Amino acid sequence: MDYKELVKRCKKSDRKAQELLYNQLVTPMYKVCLRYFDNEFDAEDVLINGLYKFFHNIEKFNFSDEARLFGWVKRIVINEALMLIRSRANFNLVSTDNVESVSDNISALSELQAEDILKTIRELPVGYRTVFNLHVIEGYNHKEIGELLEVSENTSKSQLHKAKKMLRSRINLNDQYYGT
Amino acid sequence: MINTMEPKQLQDKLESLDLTKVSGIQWNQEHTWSRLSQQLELSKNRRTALWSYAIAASIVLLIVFMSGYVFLQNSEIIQKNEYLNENQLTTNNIDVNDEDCVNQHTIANQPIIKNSESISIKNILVKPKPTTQKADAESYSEIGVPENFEKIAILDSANSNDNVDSERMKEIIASKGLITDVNLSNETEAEYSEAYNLVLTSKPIEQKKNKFSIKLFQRKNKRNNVRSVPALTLFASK
Repeated sequence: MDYKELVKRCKKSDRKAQELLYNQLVTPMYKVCLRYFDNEFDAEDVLINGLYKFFHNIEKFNFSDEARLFGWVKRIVINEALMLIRSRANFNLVSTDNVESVSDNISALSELQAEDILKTIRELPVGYRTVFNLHVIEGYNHKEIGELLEVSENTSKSQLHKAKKMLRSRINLNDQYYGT
Repeated sequence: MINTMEPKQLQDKLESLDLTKVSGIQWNQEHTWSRLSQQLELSKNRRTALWSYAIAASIVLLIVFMSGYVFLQNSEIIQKNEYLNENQLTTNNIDVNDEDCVNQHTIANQPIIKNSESISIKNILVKPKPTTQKADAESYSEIGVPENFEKIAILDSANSNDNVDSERMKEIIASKGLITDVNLSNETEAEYSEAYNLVLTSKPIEQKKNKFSIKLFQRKNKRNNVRSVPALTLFASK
C-alpha cells in the first residue's frame, strides 16, 4: 500500500483514495475508540468525527512515513474522544466511595487476553478509564493528562490510583470466580 | 503488576485485539464508511456552495457598484439637463432685438424702460423658460447681487459656452435703449474659468450710474464638480 500516494490523492478529495485509506485506518482507530467508551455507539461517533477531521485537514499533513500517519490520525481520534468525554463528565467529582477496597497483591493485566483487558478497562468509570488509557496505554504523563482533560495533575494521579485499585479488584474477582 | 507493564506492550496487545471476540459489539465497517462519506460529501458541497456564494456576491457587488456609478453619471447629466431646461433663458427663445418678444417674457410683463434715467429697471428680468416659481427662486437666489448693483437681467449663455460675443451683447443692450453707455467686463474669460457658486464679482466695474457689467458665472453641484452651466447676468449700478 503506497500511503504517500493515497495521502496525495486524498488531498485532492479523491473519494476512492479516501475509502482505501479509510479501510487501512478504521480498524485500529475503532479499537482505540472502544477503550475510551463503554458503548459502541459513542465509539463509532467519535471514530467518524475523528476520521472526518482527518480527511478534512489532510492538506495540512506532510507525509513522511506510515507510523507518522497513523500517529497523527490516532491523536485526532483521541482528542475527539476526550472532547466528548469532557462534555459529559466532571473528573473531579468521581467519589472515592465508589472505589472498592482491594489489596495490592493482584495479578497483572499482561496475563489477560486482549479481549479481557479491553472488557476490564471499559468497565471502569469514565474518569478512571480515561486517565488509565492516557497514562498506561498512550504513555502521557500526569501533567499532559491534566492539560488534556482540563483537570489538575493531582486529580489525574488520584484517578489513576483509583483506576488501578479497581482493576486489581476486578481481576482478583475474576481469578477467584474462574479459579485461575 | 499493572504499572510494570510498558505502554507499548499493552498497546500492542490491544492492537492485536480480535473485534469479533469482543462481546456486545456489532460493528459494521461499511456502514461507518457510508456515514463518513456522507459527511465528506456534505462538506465538499458546502465548500463548493460557499465558493459559489462568494463569487455570486462579488458579481452582485460589482453590478451594484457599476449601476451606482452609471446612475450617478446619469443623474448628473439629468440634473444638468433639468437645470438647462428650467433655466432656458431668453437668448435661445427670444430675439432680444425684438422688443415685443422680450416684453412677453419679462416678469409681470413690465415694459422695457427706455429712459436711461429711470435706472430702477430691475423688473425687466428676463424670465426663464419653462418657468416655475421654484425655478425662478432658485435661479435668482443663487446669483449674488454685488453691492451697489441691481440685477436687471439674467441671460442664458448655456449655449454660448465660452464664446460670449461681448460686442454683440453690447449691441443688443444698446439697441434696447436701456442705457446709453454699456460697459462690458473684460474679465469674463478669466472669471469663467473659475468655479464659484455665485457671481464672480463683488465689485462694480464702474461706480457710475447707468453702467452695466456683464458677468459670467459657473456653478458647482453637490459633489463640488463644476457644472458647465454658465449664465449671463447683467447688473446695473444703483
